[in-house]
Formats: sequence, structure tokens, C-alpha cells
Amino acid sequence: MEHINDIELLEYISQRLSDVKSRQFQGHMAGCAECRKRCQDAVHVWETLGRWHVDSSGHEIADRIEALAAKKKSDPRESRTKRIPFISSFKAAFRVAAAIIIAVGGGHLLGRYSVSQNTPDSPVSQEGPSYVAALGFEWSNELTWMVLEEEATPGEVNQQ
Amino acid sequence: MTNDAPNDGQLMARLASGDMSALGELARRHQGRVLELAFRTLGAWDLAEDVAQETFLRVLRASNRYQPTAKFTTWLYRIVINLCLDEKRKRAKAGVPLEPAVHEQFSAPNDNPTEKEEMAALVRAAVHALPERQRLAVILHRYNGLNHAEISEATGWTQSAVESLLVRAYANLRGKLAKMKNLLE
Repeated sequence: MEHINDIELLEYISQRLSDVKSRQFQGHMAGCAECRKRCQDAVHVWETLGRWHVDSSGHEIADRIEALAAKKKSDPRESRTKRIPFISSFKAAFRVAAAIIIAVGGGHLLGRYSVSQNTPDSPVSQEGPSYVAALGFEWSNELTWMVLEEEATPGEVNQQ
Repeated sequence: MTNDAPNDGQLMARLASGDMSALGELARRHQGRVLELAFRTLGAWDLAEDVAQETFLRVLRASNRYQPTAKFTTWLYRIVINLCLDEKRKRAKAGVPLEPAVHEQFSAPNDNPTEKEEMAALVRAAVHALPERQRLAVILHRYNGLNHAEISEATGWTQSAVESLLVRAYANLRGKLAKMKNLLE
């Protein structure tokens, strides 16, 4: 068997090693002076550390905790604080919805004046296409919706 | 006959269903180890009591989500450790670190200490002179009975890191304690 590794030695002296493993170690140490010495040193440190006693008996907190817990349970303010995440998420949702409404509403208003829409000054409205007259309508700005596409002037046709 | 006291998992289930007496039972069962861990880490009883109290209030708050996948004490110690480290960070940020006062307190036993008190003070000083992670690993291993795998779970450090910390910590302690003993003799 190889020498006992350091962490297993620590678990051995703190009695947290399985019985099988512990017996293996004892068998090894019986024939290995080096590991026997390491084990004695480790046991000595372990026992010395045990001299630091801490007595918590004058500091019991269980009753205080039980009283605090009971108070928290019966205190209505506690349930209000539990609702805070819901309230804040509702507020956030409301803000997002308001932002969307403003953006869409504003976009719609601005869209009324966009270049792609027909405005009162649209150049199409000056004379009107010939098919409007052929249909028996008198051209006016109210008929701009009937414009399918801009007609080429006779001069432009000749050039082509 | 199986009229045993309920185990920690059963008490957590009772607590989750609103039975506050279960929290009292858990606190009575574990307050000693929790207080001692906090005191050994922070070095002052008032801070240890605050940490212990907050630990059990967090147990209460987490009772609905608690899953008994690990040992209850490992989970409990994890809360204590996090609170202790938070306290240290808070104090360091505010410019009132614990270390000097604690070290002073630990290395200055009362005027006429008995041999027992003197030895305890030496051990405290040796443990507190370790780097923080080594100190915490030794406290959990030597005084709270956790093996290296459980220390890994409680601290969130890898098992190999814990093994290395423990081996270095005990080696350091062997050297420090030997020096201190020589000084006393």
C-alpha cells in the first residue's frame, strides 16, 4: 500500500473514514514508521485544537426567534411587503403599455404629415389624369385617391 | 419503539405549512453549533447572535422552497457562512474590519489565566492567524464536524480546493502551535 495521503489522514484522525479504509490505514501504519509519525503529529494538532472551547450556553436565541417568527406571521405589514413584487411588476407593465400608446399615437399623428401621404399641395392635384375626366368626374383634390400612377406627358412619350 | 423526535426535514415541512413552533425546535436543536460557528468566525458574541438570529429567519423565509437534497446542517451552515462573510465585507467597506480587534482579543487572555485558558487563547490566536479560507475550512472541519465533501457543499468551493485548504491549514497550525508552545515554556 502507498503512503496515506494527507486529506485521508485528516479524515482518519477525525473518524470520518469508513471502517474498511480505517483498518487498511492501521495495517499500513503498523509497518510504516513515516506514516505512524505523520499520524501522531496530526492527532496532536487535532487534540490541541480541541482545547479551544466555546460555550454558547449564555446566548440562547431560540425563544427570541420563535417570538419574532410569530410576530412576522401575525403582522399584516408583512403580507403587504410580500405584495410589493406584484405591485412593482404591475407598475412596470403599466409603464410599458403607456409608452406603447404614446409611441403609436404619436406615430399616427406624425404619419398624417408624411411625404408618402397625399398632402393638399400634392403635385398630382394640379391637372388630374385624363381618365378622371373620361369617367365624367371634374378633377379636384378630393379625387386624388383615384390616381393609379403618374401619366407620362405627350412630350415624354415622343422622346421614348 | 419509534417515538423519536421529528428529524430536520420533517420540521422544515411543518414550518413550510405554517407551524412556527417547528422553527423554535430547529433553533433549539442547532443554535449551539450555529452560534459557535458564527463566534469562531467573527470573534464577537453580539455579532454571532445577530448572525444566528438572521440565519433562522432566513430558514423561515426559505422553508417553502427547501428541498432536502443535502444534509440540513450543511445547508444551515451555508447560510451562517454567507452571513458571516457579508458581515466582514460590510465592516471592511465601512472601515471597521473585525480582524485587529479579534486578534487582539484572542491573543490577550485575562491577567491571571489558568493553563487551560492560556492554551485556549493560544489556539484561538493560531486559528485566527490563518488566511480566511483556511480558517473557515478548519473551523468547519474541526469544530462543526463536516468532512471535506460537506465543507465543499457548505462553502461552494470545489472539493479539491477544500482538500488543499485543509492540508495547508493543518500544516500551518502545526507550525504555529509548536512556536507558541515554545514561547510559553
